[in-house]
Amino acid sequence: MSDKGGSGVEHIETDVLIIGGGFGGLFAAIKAKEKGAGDVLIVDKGAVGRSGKSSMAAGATVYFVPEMGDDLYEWTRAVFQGQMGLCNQDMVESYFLQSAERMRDLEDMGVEYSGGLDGEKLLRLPSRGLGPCKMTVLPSYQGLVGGKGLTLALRKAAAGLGVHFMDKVFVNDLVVQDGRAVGAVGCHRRSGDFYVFESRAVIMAAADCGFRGNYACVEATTGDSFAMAYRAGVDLNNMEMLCCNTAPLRYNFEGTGPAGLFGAVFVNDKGEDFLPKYYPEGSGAEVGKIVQAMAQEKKKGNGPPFYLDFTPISRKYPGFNIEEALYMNMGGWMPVNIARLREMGIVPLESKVLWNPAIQTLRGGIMTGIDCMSRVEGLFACGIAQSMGPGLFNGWSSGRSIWSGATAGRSSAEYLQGTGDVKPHPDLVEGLKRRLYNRGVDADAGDISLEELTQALIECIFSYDVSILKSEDSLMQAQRKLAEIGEEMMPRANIPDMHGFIKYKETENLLLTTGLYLQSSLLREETRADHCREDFPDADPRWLKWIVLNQELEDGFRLEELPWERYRFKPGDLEMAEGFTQGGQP
Amino acid sequence: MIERIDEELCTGCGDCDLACPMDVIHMDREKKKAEVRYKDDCMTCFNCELACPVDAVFVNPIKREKLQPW
Repeated sequence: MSDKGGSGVEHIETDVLIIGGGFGGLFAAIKAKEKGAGDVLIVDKGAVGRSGKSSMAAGATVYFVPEMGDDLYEWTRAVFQGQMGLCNQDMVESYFLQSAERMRDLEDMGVEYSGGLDGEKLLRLPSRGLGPCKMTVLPSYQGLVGGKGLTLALRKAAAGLGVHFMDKVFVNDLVVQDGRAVGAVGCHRRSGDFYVFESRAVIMAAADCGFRGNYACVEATTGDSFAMAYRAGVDLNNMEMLCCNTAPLRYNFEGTGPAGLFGAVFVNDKGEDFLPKYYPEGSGAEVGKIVQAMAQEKKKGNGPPFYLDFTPISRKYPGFNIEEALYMNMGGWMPVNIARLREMGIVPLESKVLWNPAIQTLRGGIMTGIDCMSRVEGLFACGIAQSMGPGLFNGWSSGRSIWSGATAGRSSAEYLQGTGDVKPHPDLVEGLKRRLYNRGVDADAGDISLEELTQALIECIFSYDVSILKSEDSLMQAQRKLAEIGEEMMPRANIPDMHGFIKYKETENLLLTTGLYLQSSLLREETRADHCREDFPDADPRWLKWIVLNQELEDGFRLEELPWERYRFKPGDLEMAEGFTQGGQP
Repeated sequence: MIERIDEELCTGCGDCDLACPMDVIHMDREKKKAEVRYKDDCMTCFNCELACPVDAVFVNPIKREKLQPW
């Protein structure tokens, strides 16, 4: 493949292949090893535990602690309500019941919690959007606070157990043969060399899709897990559940929620504090409600621009320094970001700042059982690659990634005990290799830059009427734009080097993921959780089911009932807010 | 977005290259130093600066201008 970059081929055999080295992947590796899984390899398109979203997380984690009076019934109900019924209740309960073990695991690795795990002093805060659920905050390891500390501790523990790491290898496809996952293929992102992984079990742990949007630190999440799984005939669900947050336009910022609770106010182009028109809690509302109100204001011509005005905080709480109290202690990138902005004379927490909705995360993913195995034998999923219901709740992503990682790791080891080796058929591997190298590296070929492609994609998905207030017309229009990008622009892409080649492959995954999002959004003719249809503005009990996408189905999808018979809460237990209409009607 | 890597300070350890999620930083094999190769792809996550053991990396908090369809 001399015209693609490198020319080498690497064959790697392992018992468990883990794709993605964040909280989920690292925990999976540790538990697989502890359970005697043999050779365990984590491969990452960046670097294991160093470059992904986990390493940038604040580290807030929803943990269930019965000794502190936490009630399993109430906590599960909060998630059931928060996800408007589309809740994997058995997984959620398993996650809560295993919380204590996972915290002990991390403590054994040297992670410290504010207040300590024993006694009543463990520092916890309420998780916004999840009623009684609480999250631990500011975990630290060797002086590193948050995700940086957690990933370092996990990486050391995994290395100590003999887990192998492989960095900068981009995995493009799973190898599924006779209904069983037996490996994956990809290439080195620098050399272009082809990599064939032969494994007895595969764990998908590469997270999320931020659609190259403007939210902090999401640009590297390009839907790789979802696209790979879909191409391999794996069931995906919740793909219509896209979560938007809000973000400043010029720099990154995380922690808008607390600012709203302390009195920061969103204002529209007319200078109006518009959120109280929609929700009594005003700018302290949950983020999904805030972006839906912004979309309504956009429709009325009241913005953009929108602003977040932090100045009321000091009037409301004279003498309270929110910057010091909340943001400079967060760990990770926020303190250096805030300090550096201040050096430049920019003090967001004392200003009125240009601020817009921004796509943060797609809550869909690979459907699994409570053991985190997908319906393809030998394929497990954890972290954000696994589907565990809609909703953007504080401390939820980290917590569920840790639970599902540990579970997938254990399950993969158990699975290996009853399974033998299967060699991927050379023809299958050759076909996947051709798909990987469908375009060559050639600085002189193609007249559309990768940046232009990205911009076209952002324009397609991030109109307010595609990502927030959807309708049949707007979604179908987006489908047409997407088809144009795929059919007319992609073949003309200029791929000057291996860096561009990987961006091109990521763009393929982004386009496929966008298509799945649009397809699923069109199918769900109601408004529920993160999914808001302007033409179907109410939650419809007939839609309390999963939309399952699978390319091997005749129509590409099926509707699936939730397993209510084994769930604690039934459809009749779901409490809808009176006059429920997302986006509100002032 | 990333502004510079101080060549004098850089020890060539490669930690910033590993920390970068966007493949912006590569190691210059001849000089044995890190270099900013794809600046326009920087997402201003500060991961490289935080990973650098000798404070050789400087990230400007102002992001590159992005299309805002809003």
